[in-house]
Amino acid sequence: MARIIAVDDSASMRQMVSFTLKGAGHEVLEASDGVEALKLANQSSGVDLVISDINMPNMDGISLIKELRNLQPYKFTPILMLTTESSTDKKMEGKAAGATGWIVKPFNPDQLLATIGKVL
Amino acid sequence: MAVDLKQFHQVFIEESIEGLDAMEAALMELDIESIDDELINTIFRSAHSIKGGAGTFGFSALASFTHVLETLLDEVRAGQRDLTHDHVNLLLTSVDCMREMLEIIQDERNEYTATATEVQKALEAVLNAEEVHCEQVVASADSDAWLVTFKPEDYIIRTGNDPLRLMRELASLAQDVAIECVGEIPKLNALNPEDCCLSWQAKLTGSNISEEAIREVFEWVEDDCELIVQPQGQSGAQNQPCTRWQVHFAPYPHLFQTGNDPLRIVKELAQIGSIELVEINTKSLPALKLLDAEKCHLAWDIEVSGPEKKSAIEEVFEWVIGEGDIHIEPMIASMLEPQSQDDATVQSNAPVSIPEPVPVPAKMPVAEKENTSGKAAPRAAKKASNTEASSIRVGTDKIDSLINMVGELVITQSMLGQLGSEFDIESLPKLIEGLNQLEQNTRELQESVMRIRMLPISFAFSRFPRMVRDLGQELGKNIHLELQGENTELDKTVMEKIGDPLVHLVRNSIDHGIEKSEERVAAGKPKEGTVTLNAYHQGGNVVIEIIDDGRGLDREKIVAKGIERKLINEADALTASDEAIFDLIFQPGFSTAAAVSNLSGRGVGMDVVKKNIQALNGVVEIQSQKGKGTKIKISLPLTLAILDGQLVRVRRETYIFPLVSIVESLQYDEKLVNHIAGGCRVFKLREEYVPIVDLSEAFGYEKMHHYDNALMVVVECDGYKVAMLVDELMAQQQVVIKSLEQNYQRVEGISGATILGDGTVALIIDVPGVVRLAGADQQVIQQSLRRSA
Repeated sequence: MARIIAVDDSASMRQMVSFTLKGAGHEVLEASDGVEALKLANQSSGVDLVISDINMPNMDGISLIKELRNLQPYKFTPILMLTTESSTDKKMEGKAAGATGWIVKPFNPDQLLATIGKVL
Repeated sequence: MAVDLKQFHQVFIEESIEGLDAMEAALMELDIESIDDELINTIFRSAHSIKGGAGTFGFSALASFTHVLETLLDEVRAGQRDLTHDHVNLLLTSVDCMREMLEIIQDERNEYTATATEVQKALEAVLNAEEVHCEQVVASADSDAWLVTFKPEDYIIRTGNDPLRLMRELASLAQDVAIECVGEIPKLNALNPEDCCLSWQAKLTGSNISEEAIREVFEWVEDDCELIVQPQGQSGAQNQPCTRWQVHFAPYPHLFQTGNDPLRIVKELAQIGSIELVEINTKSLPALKLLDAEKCHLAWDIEVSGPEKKSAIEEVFEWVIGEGDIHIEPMIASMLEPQSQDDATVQSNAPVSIPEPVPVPAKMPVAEKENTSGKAAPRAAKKASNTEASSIRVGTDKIDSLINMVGELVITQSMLGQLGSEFDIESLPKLIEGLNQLEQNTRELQESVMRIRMLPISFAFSRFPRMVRDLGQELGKNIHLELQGENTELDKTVMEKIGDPLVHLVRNSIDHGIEKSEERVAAGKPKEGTVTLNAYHQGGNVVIEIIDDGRGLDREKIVAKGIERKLINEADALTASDEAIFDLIFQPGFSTAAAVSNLSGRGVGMDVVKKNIQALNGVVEIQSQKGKGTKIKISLPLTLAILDGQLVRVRRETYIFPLVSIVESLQYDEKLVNHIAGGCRVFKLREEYVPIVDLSEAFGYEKMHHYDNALMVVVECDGYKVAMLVDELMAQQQVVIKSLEQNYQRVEGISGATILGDGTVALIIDVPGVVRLAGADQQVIQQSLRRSA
């Protein structure tokens, strides 16, 4: 059981991710954009994983990753990007910002669980 | 994991519809001369989210459609493409297509619509227009195996090209690739980090890789490198199936900062095959004093057997590509000894234990997946039947106030409960106080619940900017739409039903009201016509106004048409007020448009508009000034649950007329009554003959014998007047409508019921229904009226 922050501006995706993770016994904190996620990250402790969308209003995923990496508790926390952009550019941009890895949409719950299994 | 994705479909559809609305609004606002980044981003984000969701939830048709759209938007966003008016139109059409596709998805179907296929072609055409020239097909030898040697000049990095990316691109061509990095790295003091001193040798294996494709990868650096592409025969080990691999993994020190853990990777490797040997290279491990615990100083050499594809192993390292040196080499059966190793490699014994393959997580997904697919299908089918219920989005403040209310109610209830358990006459005042409080709570709760159904009218207005724009383009008119009072709240049901009439009225304003630019300029008006939609509260009603500054209604034309259609006689026409004349356009079959356009003017519509508004217990009126413009004012009740009623007595029963349907009430006068063919009586109301309906007869009481004291309520029905005989007019009051259909059954002539203050039930009269019930068929009556007149 891990504590996971899930960030996505799309409610359906967020619900799906959250439902899947909760179903696997994890504790899930939800945020709908980078600003909210950052606030949540600051308030919570012992977060084991952050899963974030890239394209979001207010603060996008890349900026969120950069901000998180600047926070002491999140220096080594796995951060996965949730993205439809399978192009290397976005992944590299994310990696440059400090992302651990990525999950390419579309994915199904099994794939999601398999992927987070790599870091948990 | 047994997750039924269907449960997220409704949320997905709702948010997608919202996304499309946002997209449409942003597209409308878009000024192609100076593109606002934030707008483009909004549009892109919406498309992007829809695509992601559609793909995830299995709506592949919508996903692939949106993908093309997204590609185009991405280019615009990146500034690689200019937007034209045609593009914006195409994007708007795409929005329509996606709406259609969402509707189809609502029925649990995943397919293209005919228009979507066309629009997608159009989008693809736009995308490909500039790329076609790239697709020169050059016949070249295809081979299954290639040896590519790539030796870039040392300045290549300064051209902005990244050899690694090139190699990666090269690797993407092949099913299997072995890349070897060769070249001399100079001593540290001679090393210029901006120079590229490496070269690469790649062995590609796969089916039908053309030389052209390989060379295309290096297209930009052709002149900056030495490139040798050689086909390789079926020689050696390359094509032998290999199940044993040598993996070298030397991560860069900062690996931990990306959250990746090398041990985890080794563990994962153990899941796809069995690990034969792990060697840890501790060469770069600094002395303890200098050790930075946050850095990775180790490197690994791993022999793994099992996986047949190199890609399977690569996938394990996917996230750390670029985070260290990774070499994956096949080991051929004959050379089981590891390739020449560095002298300093230390054989790992105890310190790091090789994790055993963890069987449980590896197997579980598969087992459960089978389980799921067997179980999910019947459950999904069952669920589909009850997902139809429409939902409503409610502001959290409304919910909070409800919860608050319920909290108060609970407190009152517990107080009363306590009072009741030990009641004596002393505490009577307390009881009365408690009951008063309960009453107040109940009323507040009722109001809060009603508020939940209220939505801002912007929901109904939002479709107009697009519609006005499209219509204006189609008709070549310059139109500005102004929306006012968008936050005025209205019952959801009323909102849904008022949409179509509003569309019709706005279309009429644009088609008939607003003149062409030249005409407007000639009349001394601004070139751009204005249509204003305004909404506000007035008393217990919501008023919606549709105002245009067009040519206004032409009284003479309407009168002429009205006389021609026998809707009014000449004498009346002279004296009638403007309002009465303008009201004629709501009569069935009335149309003054000289030419029938495909928008309006077919003569159906305005009567339907009025009927729909009346069905909502609403009233519509027209004010117009020739040459100045027209204002159509619709008054609607705030909610359908409450009705302004006129209570009447028919024998001993109380009935209720909707107040909006009543024209006037007057005393019955035998002298003014005529009997016409068919046993029907008509009443001469000024210059008009109005059929009389005896309500007591219609509702199955005995026929009235004396009408002398009777009263007549003149109501409007389908554009005609009908007089209803009643015994007494009682109070006017607001009544709460209860459905008869839900509580009892449908009754002809009755639209519902209510409970009066004294607890008795009063029935609400459905005027057209009663007229049918009484056999007073309007067509027949009007015909015989005309004959006798």
